[in-house]
Amino acid sequence: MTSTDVPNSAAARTQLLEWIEEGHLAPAQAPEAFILAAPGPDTGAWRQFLSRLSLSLGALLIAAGVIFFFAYNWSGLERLGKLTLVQSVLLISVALTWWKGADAPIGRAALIAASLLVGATLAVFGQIYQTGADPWQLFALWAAIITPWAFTSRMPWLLLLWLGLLDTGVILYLEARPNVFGFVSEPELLLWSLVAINGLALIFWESLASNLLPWLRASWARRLLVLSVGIPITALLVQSIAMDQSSVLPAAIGWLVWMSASLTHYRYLRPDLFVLAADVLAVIVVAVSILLIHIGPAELFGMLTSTVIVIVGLSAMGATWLRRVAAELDEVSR
Amino acid sequence: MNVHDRAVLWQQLDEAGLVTGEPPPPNNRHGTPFYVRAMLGIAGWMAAAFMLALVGLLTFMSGSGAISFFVIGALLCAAALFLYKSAPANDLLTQLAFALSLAGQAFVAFGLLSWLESETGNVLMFLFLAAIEMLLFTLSSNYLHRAWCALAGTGFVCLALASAGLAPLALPCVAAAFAGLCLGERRRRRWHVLLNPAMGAFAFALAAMPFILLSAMVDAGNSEFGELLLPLQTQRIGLALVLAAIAWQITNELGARPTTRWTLVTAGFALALVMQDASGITAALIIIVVGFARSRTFFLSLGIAALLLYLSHFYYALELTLLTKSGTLIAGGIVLVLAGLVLHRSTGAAPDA
Repeated sequence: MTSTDVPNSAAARTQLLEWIEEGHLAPAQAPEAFILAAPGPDTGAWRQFLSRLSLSLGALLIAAGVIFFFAYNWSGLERLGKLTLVQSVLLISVALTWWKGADAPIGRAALIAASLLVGATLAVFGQIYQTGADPWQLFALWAAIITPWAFTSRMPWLLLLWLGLLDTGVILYLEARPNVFGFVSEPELLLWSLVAINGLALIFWESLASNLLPWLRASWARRLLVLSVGIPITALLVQSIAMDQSSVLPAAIGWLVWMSASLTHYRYLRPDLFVLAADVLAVIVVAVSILLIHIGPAELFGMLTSTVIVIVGLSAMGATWLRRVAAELDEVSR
Repeated sequence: MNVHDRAVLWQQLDEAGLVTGEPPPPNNRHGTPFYVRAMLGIAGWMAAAFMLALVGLLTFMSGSGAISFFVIGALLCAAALFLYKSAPANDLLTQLAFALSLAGQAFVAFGLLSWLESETGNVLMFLFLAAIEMLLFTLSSNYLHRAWCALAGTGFVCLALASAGLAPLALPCVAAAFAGLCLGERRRRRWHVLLNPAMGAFAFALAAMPFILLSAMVDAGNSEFGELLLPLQTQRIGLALVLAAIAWQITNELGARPTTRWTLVTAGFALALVMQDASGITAALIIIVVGFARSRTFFLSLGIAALLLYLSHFYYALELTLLTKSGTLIAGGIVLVLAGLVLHRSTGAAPDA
């Protein structure tokens, strides 16, 4: 250990403030301590920073200004002009991806831009030619076109975008045809479809991440997927409880299955404290919903008081459990 | 910060004669994982919502007047401060306290409005509310609560300025306060812990205000706060002066030559004037530059996010035509690109890929 090592500036600053608060460092010594711990950028670093900032911000403002200019003149543009404009930008993005490669940062940014521009192109096409297509068809076609990019780019972002387009297409399709499953109400149908699609996606994602495709192991992507299943299934149960419908039983079974699978997998097989914390929160939300509906407004004071007690109690129990799990995981990782 | 880095930092301070002895033991107050604290925070808010529903119900049912609201609000704030003092490390109770304090401040504001029987601008009322926020800021020991009080106090001061017809001063004042606090950290010999949350609050206020001010001020003739006593140019020149002052301070710290210093100061001033119709871009730039000067990654990220959001907002703002906005952006972009090219050549570095 040497004194020439420089700890992270932000962390060092936070530590210094903690030591000042606890009295280990005199406030009068703080200026020298801050300069020592976080000396800040030198002249060379400033030149480089200002150069990059000016060039990138300048380019961004010029690009934005050009977009604003075309938007101003959009209604005056001919059909061919509009299509040429959008498709040119799409082709440039694709060409940039091909030239730089999908592994380079610029190539990745260009591929994401190209994936978004596919949607813009389809929208402009639909606007110009008034094809009469349903909105769900736009999203379905968009998802279909970018499927090869999504599965070969090795970018979790793009795969999640593709899944989002699929979800949107299915939801819009079911909204247009609410009686396709006549025994299920429209809001429940939409939520069940989200649970089904995203649940399947999560199963495939976790299986492939563990065995075949390491680029799927990004924790933020997995957590987003977990939320995309957990939130709709919890909303489904809360809605069923609130509406006092006969669908409470299937929703409750679905929620319990999800919670069991999620708690088991993310506690013992692929430990993830974020998912466990989300599960605890889901339990609290469901418990509060049951209390609110079954005590009801007739006993308002009792309902409010007992709800507060339940929330505080469950939170404390949940936090104790989560801290114990965190400590065990820390112990295992050492 | 891990054990090794803490020890290294302590050794550096020891060698500089700023501290003596062994490094103090680590404070495990923040040892709980972030997700657990977030879950507890959300639960605390849920509990507070129901608790406050109960308090609100009792208050309204009793037919209380303005003074009662004021007293109840003060009691809620006092309860919050008590919770902060007695359980500073309990995430559930600190979030509960935060929610209680917010409700208390709302009750106080409602009581004050009822007493004054005024729903529109009143300079003294806003200044009084700002003073209450300052009192809570000083008495509280919780970072988040202090940051909120600083943010709310800033908002009330800006509302007071707007009520007095001095709205064009608001954004430059917040920008100056933010830059002054952050850049002056290395000269202050006291109040570091107290003022630390205020920096974050001012940064948020600086990032958020252009979204609100653009509509309120450009459309001043229909403003709820009446006529402006100062022209809109005051805001533009004020921001330009703040950016120039930041450039001056930073070049002073680096020991730059006078030529360089005056070039950067003039460039900052000129850029802010060119971007006069897009004050949000200047505000975001201030946050980014100050964030880099003090190696504050959070401010850098906030500034970049504010810049991108402002550009989206700018597109939909109705006060200016798309043609005018297009011209402003392209003019500003050209100035920046030219400046960037000059700086890039002076670094002697190879062009980035």
